[in-house]
Amino acid sequence: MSEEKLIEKIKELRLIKPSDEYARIGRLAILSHSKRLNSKWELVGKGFFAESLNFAFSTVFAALFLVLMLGGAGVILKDSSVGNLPGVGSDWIVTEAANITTDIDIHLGEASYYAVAAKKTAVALNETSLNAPAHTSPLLIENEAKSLQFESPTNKNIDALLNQATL
Amino acid sequence: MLEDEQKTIKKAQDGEVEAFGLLYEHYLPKIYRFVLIKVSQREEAEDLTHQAFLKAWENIEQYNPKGYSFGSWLYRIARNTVIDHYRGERPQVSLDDVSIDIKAGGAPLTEEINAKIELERLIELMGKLKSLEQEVLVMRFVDDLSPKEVAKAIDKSEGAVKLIQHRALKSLKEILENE
Repeated sequence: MSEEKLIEKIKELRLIKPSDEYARIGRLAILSHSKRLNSKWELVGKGFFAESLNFAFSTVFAALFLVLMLGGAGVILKDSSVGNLPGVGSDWIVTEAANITTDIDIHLGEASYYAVAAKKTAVALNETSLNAPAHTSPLLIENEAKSLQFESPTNKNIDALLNQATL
Repeated sequence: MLEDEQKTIKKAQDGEVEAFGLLYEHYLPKIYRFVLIKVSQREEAEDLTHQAFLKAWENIEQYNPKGYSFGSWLYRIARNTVIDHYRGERPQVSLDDVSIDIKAGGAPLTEEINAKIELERLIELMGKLKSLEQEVLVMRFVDDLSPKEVAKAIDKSEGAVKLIQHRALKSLKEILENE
């Protein structure tokens, strides 16, 4: 086979074509694929170094932006005499803080008192439930009843004292 | 070459999707053929061709028209995609694996089948050539690239391309004669 004929045979490979369906689907898939980043918006080119540089630039810009924002807010607060308003001055803040501290101390004292009182009450109630109180003892009541002389309720001492008070 | 190709490329580089669509339509058959002849399997050729165009679309900003033609740039991407896929190993070609679609332009069915068998046989035989020889033959005679364009695509000098072409034709002739 001559070289020309061989080349003609190779040229027949031009008949090979992708199927229409593959071409259509492939086109759609590629064109719907969103590109990573348009180079127009990159600060420098591509590659590892360039990407690192891009990242560094972005970080620096973000930091600058934050500093400007915070610095701007500081200047606004300082210059617009907001600090001079009642409620913003440092003396007022100190007094207010002292008052709040005192209030807190008082409340803490009360809470402590209530806690102790509650504990004592609990102890008393516990004792009461375990041992009956003395004034309810039937023996004591009987003794007192004897000494009260219910039959002749006149108390000489009381009469003398009343006479002394009225005369 | 596509009409107003440079303008179309510029539009695609500016992110115009339809412009890249035109480039895709124009170059798809060439790149697909190139890949299919290298890998000899239709499904694999379709996947690798798709990957190659995806890479081209993602990196189109990097294409510099002053360097070489867009076609050469695409062939280079396709070639690297195939190399990456096989990682240095050559695809194993057998006649059973070769499955291609051809468009014989309204020829009778028997003729179309015969043409298909003949082409599949030719691809199989070309698979016995060295990878670089195969690429040069396809780019030079199937897709009509100039030696300069082929040189850019395979990263060799024009002289080297002519030498590879000569050796490839000689080898293929021997393969066909010894068949």
